[in-house]
Amino acid sequence: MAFETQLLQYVIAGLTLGSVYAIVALGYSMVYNATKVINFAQGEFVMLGGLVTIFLYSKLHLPLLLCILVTIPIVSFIGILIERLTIAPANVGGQDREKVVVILIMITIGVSEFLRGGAMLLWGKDPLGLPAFSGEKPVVLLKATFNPQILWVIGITLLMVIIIRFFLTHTILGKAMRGSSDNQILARLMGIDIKLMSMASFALSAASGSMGGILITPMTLMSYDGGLMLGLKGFCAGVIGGFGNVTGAIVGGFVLGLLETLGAGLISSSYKDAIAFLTLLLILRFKPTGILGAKAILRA
Amino acid sequence: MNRRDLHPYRGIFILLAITAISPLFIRSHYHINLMVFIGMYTLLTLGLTLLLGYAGQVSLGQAGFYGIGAYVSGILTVKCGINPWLALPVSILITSVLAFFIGFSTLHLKGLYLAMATLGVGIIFHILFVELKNLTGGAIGLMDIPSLSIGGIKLDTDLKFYILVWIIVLFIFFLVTNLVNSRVGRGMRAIQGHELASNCFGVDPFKYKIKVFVLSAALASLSGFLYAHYINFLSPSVFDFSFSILFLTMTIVGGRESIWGALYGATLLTLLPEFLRRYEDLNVMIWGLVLVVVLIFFNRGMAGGLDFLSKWVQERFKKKGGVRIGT
Amino acid sequence: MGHNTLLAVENIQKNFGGLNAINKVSFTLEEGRIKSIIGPNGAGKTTLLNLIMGVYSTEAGKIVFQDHPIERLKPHQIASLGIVRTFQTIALFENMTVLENVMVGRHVRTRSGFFSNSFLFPRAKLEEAEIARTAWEKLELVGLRERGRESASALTFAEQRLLEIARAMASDPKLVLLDEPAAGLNKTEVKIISQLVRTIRGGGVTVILVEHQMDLVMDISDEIVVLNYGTKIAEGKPKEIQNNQEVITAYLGEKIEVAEG
Repeated sequence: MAFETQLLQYVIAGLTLGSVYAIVALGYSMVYNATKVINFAQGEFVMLGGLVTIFLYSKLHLPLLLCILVTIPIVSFIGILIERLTIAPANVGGQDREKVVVILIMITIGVSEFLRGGAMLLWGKDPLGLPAFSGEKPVVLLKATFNPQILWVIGITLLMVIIIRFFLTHTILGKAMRGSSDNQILARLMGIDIKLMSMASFALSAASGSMGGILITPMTLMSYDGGLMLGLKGFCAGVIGGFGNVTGAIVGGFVLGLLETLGAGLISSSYKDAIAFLTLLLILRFKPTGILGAKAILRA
Repeated sequence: MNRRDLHPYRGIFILLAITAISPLFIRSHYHINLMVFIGMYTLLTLGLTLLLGYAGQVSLGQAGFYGIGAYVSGILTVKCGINPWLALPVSILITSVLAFFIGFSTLHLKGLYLAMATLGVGIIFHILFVELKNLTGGAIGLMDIPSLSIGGIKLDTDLKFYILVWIIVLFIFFLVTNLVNSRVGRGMRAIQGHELASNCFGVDPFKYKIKVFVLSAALASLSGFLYAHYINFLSPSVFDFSFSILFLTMTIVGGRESIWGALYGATLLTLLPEFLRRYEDLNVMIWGLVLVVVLIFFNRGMAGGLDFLSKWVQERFKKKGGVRIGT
Repeated sequence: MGHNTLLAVENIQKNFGGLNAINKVSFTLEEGRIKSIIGPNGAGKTTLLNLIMGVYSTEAGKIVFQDHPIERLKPHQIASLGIVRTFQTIALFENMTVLENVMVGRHVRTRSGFFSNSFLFPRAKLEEAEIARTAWEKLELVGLRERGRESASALTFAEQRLLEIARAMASDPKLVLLDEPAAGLNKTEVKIISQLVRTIRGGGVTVILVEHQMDLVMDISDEIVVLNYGTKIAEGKPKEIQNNQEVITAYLGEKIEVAEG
């Protein structure tokens, strides 16, 4: 295979992977902006998106599109449940914000474990799949062949993130969601219901995360622990792009995806997983606010 | 030395009694083995308890330092034939230097820097353990790690190692108790109480946080060293992210404000899976649930609960006009 | 520097965003004196103390303490030179006992660290005994000795103000910055504070006092500096300040606090 073709192959793979990272990073961003919580269970929404759809499709034999349309609200609802049952109770009490944040983060880690464990019980340990959305026939572009599902992944992701970004930056509800955690008193005075913003951010991040899972499962299969690494790497992507920054999440996601596939392809594939975390460390060391500059979770 | 001087050590004496007497009643190798693990996990968790309770920081990579301690000693003893007791200081030194570097780069900044850096470091080292096959044996593992010997006696049985581990744990608790009750402990608690005020009275939060972090990493590597020479075999799977979370769970459940919380958490989370053997599949889910529930409802963990209970008992005793138990 | 000058503040400047909080403020302080800083609310008094203490860094000018320039130093370094402070809003360590709070006050005068304390080296044990002894002494000084073993959060408001002072004195400082130590206290309590400050000065310690309670200020100050909107508008002996027209104008419309009795 010619080098250019190989390179194109890696780039396309990178954009595909980057799509998922972007979705996850965006999820972190939404929740963080609304609640100042870093939701380490973000990756599990992706996992649930894939597995719930598989359940509806394989066990209940519903048509694929219906499965997708039903799964998203289900996972969204799970997101709201998490917020109501675990974040809201822990947030009470006028403690120093920084100390509460550490506790909240550990709670989300606990939730992530709980969901993973539960998924293992319900779906077993084996990876499961979904049919490709538009068939298996490979698409050819400039002598590079790739799975048509990629078009769905990248396409729908771009659509989703553009819509979400527009929502967060140009609508009143979206701006309220972003800003309500900065100054809760001010937000309340302006009539913003903080509780609602908190729930909405979880619902939205769960919904988008689940969509990500649905999109990639036909390609990469999904298992009970598929969300763990995605969640962690998506977090790295968020930091790389600038944590809390909505555009940064998207940029960070795609940048990380490309770094990972190019690194794996050109340098070494055994250290593929390390790339995300190495990049994280480098960003923390040299530009902690990320590529596009973060909202400060990390003040000097 | 009078009774008042020995008062802070009463926990250590109780633990000494329990661990000294237990082998008389517990004969099975299996149970002794469990108690060895409780000891090693206590050291790991103690580091996190000090870090979280006294420096207010989270480390998401404790398993990484655990692994470095284990593999450095394992590699030096297996591949270079070095005496394990010489490998120990090297192991601890390497881990401490790494921790110092990480702490130095991140702890002067407010926020979750250290948590993120330890997340990255822990995972990267796990990947290194798997991929540096020539050095670590990779996923197949590092084998034939020699047992420890003291004065010609080889510690190759569970019971002998049990004695070593618990002597070490008791000694570490002795040191940590001294530290916590000293000027240093006060300084760290002052940082938790009011960081700015502590700064104005000469406490440098940066310096203390780094030292506590290095200490937590050193304890982890000590534990790793013990593990390597007990099991005589290393596989990367016990040094991955899920173990970092497990140790953190032990810290929270045991109670992060008391050094004894490390012991309680390690004990509970080592014994519980044994009782739930039948429900092994539920393990991960239960851990998650326990962590969340404890964090929301029992913030002070088991140590806090015991503290509450003992105070309640004392109050009742006082009300009944009985003999007042010393505070 | 003048022969007895302990502290010299020269043209210091502090802005917060667009707001100019301290504007070219200068004054000197002689050893063994009590210098008060007064001014309407928002005049920048606490900011000034924060600048001296290194909590904020000045954007211009110098602060010199016993021939040491200190404007670039961090609070813990400044503490080791012998400057301590109390806080306007109580900044005690509520998670510790009364005694322990004062013991932390002595932190800067002691050195034993992780190793010597863990292994109970004699040096550490001796230091610990000295810290305890000094702490009890200072508690005696402010009259809180019986409350030593209680939690700091169990004290009354007035007692907490006294504890702040005890903590500050624990390091045997050269200069104490008192930030509204009498705020919120009744007449009797203010008298106690007043007496305490005199005793402190009597022990050779220099005091900078930020206060709103004019009785207290006029009673014990050797000199007074008046700030308004971050600028020094007057400096001099109490009688001079009382008659200063600009000072009176600055306070017009402001209720000058006199302690309720």
